[in-house]
Amino acid sequence: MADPLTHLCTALLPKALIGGRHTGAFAIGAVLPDLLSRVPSMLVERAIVAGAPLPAWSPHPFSVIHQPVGAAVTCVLLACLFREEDRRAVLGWLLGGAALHFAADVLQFHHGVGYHLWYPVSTARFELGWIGSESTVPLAPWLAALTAVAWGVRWAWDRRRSVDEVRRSSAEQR
Amino acid sequence: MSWLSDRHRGKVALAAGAVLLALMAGWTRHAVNNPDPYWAAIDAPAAWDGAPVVLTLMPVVEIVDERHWVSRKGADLALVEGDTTDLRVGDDVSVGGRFRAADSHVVAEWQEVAALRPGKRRLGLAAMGFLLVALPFWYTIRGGRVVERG
Repeated sequence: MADPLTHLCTALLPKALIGGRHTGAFAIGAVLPDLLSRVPSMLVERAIVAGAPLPAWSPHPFSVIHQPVGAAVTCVLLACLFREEDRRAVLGWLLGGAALHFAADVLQFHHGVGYHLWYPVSTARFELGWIGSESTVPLAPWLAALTAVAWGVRWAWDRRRSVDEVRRSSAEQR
Repeated sequence: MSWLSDRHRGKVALAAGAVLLALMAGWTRHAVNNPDPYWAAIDAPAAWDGAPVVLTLMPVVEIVDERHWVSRKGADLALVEGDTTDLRVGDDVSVGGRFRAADSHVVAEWQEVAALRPGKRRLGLAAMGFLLVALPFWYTIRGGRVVERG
């Protein structure tokens, strides 16, 4: 899988360019498969190694959230937490972020041990294998810096626009 | 999308939760009944003798000697016969080779150390840290619902 910072930036960078609401939902969607799947699996495995009385199968259930159907259902659940008027848009952005996540992951080469993308229809694995599994690591800091710059420009642009709007409406009132 | 309205919210959440639990149960059953080749081989060594096996991104937990090292998945150990010259305990290694039933070893044909794995973990922590800081700036709770700020 790509590193989480790269996943985050694949959402935050384009969102800086297009602006608009629901940046958080897009960013959360982009890291959701790892955050709610890999992290709990890893913690449960470490607990088992440390001697916790957990069954050997207990890391497995979280894997479905790192699969498109499971991630989509999780996005629906998360969208239900939002107020009604935002729910549809939030769901769309969460799903978009999750789709970006899987698109980035399947680029990678894992020695033929790819991703389960079709469950529950199929348990076949898939990967494009175009880049190494750690290829994004050296690039991630640069991508993060570029994303920060893009958001700096976005913030300055939005601030300038709102100042101009205030000036215009003040002039119209006079 | 009326199914996302407050009128249906409870039912949708319940249904989504049930679907997720069903997916989790089904996947767990599949994973337990269809372990990755090395773990299947451990359970039925004779049937898997000589079969190709790939272990991806496994931690090195012990270096036995110049030709043998041990990895782990959960509480289960994986035994590898391969060159340990460039390996250190704590490295994440992918290895491919053949299963040898006599001693349950993977006889490595290739090994690859994921040298950037520790950096990847640090990037993961950075991303999680950013989210923890950003979430309260993005969202607040009003009337029991998450609302975007601004």
